[in-house]
Amino acid sequence: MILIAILFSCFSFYILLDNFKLFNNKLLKIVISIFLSVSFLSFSFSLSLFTGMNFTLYQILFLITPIIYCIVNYKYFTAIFKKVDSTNFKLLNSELAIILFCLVLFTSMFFFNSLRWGRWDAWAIWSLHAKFLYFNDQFASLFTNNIIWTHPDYPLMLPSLIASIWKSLGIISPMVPLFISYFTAICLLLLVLSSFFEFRFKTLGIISFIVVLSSILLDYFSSSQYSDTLLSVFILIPIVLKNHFDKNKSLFFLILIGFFAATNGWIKNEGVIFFVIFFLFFSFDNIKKIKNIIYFLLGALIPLLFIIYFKTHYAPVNDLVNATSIDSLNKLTEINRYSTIYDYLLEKVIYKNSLLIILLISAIAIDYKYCLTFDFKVIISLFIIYFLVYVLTPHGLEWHLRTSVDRIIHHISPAIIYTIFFYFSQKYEVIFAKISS
Amino acid sequence: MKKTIIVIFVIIISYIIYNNYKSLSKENDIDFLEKSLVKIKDISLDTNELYYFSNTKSVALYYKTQFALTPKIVIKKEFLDIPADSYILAVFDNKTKNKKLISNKKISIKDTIINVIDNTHYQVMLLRN
Repeated sequence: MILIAILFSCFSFYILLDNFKLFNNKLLKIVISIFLSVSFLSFSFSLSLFTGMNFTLYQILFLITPIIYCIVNYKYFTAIFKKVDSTNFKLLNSELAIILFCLVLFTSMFFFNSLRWGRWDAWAIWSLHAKFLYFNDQFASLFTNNIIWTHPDYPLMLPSLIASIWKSLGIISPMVPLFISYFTAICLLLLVLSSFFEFRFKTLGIISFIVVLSSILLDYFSSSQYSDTLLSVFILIPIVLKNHFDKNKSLFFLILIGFFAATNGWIKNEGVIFFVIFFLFFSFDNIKKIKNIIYFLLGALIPLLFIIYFKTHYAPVNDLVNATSIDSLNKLTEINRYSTIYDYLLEKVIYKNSLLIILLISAIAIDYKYCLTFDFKVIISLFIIYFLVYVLTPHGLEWHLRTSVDRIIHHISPAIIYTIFFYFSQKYEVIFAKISS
Repeated sequence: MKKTIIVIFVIIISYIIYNNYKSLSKENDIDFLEKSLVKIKDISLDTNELYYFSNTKSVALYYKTQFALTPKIVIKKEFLDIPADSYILAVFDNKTKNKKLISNKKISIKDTIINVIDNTHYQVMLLRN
C-alpha cells in the first residue's frame, strides 16, 4: 500500500510544482516530486512511531491524502499523462540512446557491486535501525548506550523509508534497502541532467551527467546501501533549486530550498552542518530581503522540528560530541595531525577522484570567480568543517580517516561537478545554447 | 524510434535486475544466523536484553547477532559485570576451531533455556546465569 501511496504522493507534488510554475522540464518536476514524497513518507512514518499510531491507520491516511489531492486537481492530474511540451524541448534519438546506455551501464555496475544486506554499515547501522523501527512498539529500544556501536543517534530518514516499506510489504527483505539505494543513485543522475535541460543546455546536461556517472564511484558508493548517496542528493537539491530561483523568483522556491536544506539533518549528522552553513550564506546573501529568509525558514520548519524532537527525546549524545572536550582543542596545534589528514586526502581525493580534481583546478584556473559563488562557498565551508572534525576527532585519527574520508568526498562531489558546469553554462550561456540547439 | 529505444532499454534493465536478483536472493551469513536464532527471537522473556558470548572474537558475528535478534538488545560485557539472573546468549560459529566461549572468567550457568543445534553454520544457546 505504501508504494501506491508514494506514487500518488509523487503525482500530488508534481501537480503542486506545476501549479506554482517552478519548472518546465517534466523530468526535473518528477525528480523533485519523488524526493518530496520520500521526505514526507519518512517524516510522517516517524511521526506515526513517535505518537504510537496504528500502522494500518497511518497507511490509509498516507494513501488517502494524496489521492484526494489528485481528485480535487483532476484536471491537472490528467495533464501529467498528456504528451504536451510547451517548451519545445526535444531530445534527439542519439542523445536519448546515450543517456539510456549510461543508465544501463550504471545499473549493471550497481548490481555487480551489490551484496545481499549491503556492506558493513548498511546492516550494522541503517538496516539495523530500520529493523527497530519495524517493530513500532519497541522501536525506542534502539536508543540505548548498550549498542552505541550502531550509532543510535543517527537520524532516521533512510531507516524510516526502509522500515515503512518493510511494514507495508509485511516482510523484512534485503531487496528494499537495495532498491532504495538504486533509485536514489538514478535520481541523482537524473537531477543533474534535468537541471541543465530546464535551462535548455542539452549537451552540457549530458556531459555533466556522464562526468557525475564516471568520476565519483557512484556505483560503488550507492551499492553499499549507506545513506551517503542520499545525503549527496539532498546536498545537491537545494543548490540546484537555488540556481533555478535566481532565474525564476517564485517565493515557493525558497520554501523548497529551506525544506531540502534542513532535511539533510534528517539523513546524517553531517547534514546538520550543511544546513547551518547553507543557512548562514543564504542569510548573508539575503540580508536586505528578510522576506526571503522567512520563506526559507518556513520551508525548513518541519524538518527542523523533527530533528530537534528526535535529538532531544530519543537520540543518545553523539560519540564525537560526547568525547570532545576543551582538551581536544590542543589538537589544533598538532601539526602531524594536519599532515596525516593531508596525506589521506591526497590519496583518496587526488588519486581516486582525479577527474574531479582536474575539473576543479581547471575551473578555478579558467575563472577564479567560480570560487566566489554561493555554491562554492557552501561546499568549501562544509569541506573545511569536515577537515576540522578530523583534526579534533576523539577517535584514532587513522581509523577515522580510513573509515570515512572517501564518504565525505562522496557527499560533496556531485555538487562540485554540478556547480562547475552550472557556473560555466551561465558564463558562456550563448555558446552553450548554440551547441544545444 | 524513441519508443523502440525506450522499450529496448526497459528490456535490458529488466534482464540485468532479474539476473542479479537471483544471485542476491542467495542466503548469506546473516540469513543463516537469523534462522539459527529464530526460536530465541520468538521466545517471550521478562527482559529484552541478552548478554552475548561466543567462541570467536569476531565483532561482525556480534553485530550480525544483534541484527538478527532485533528488537531484542544484545549486549557484550565481561561476565563479572553481568547482573544476576540475566539471560546469556551463546553463539558458536561452527567454522571456528575453538569450541569454548571466550570469557575472562568462567561462565557459571543456572539454566539452559534453548539449545539450537545447526551443524552447518551456528549453534546457539540461551542460558541463565
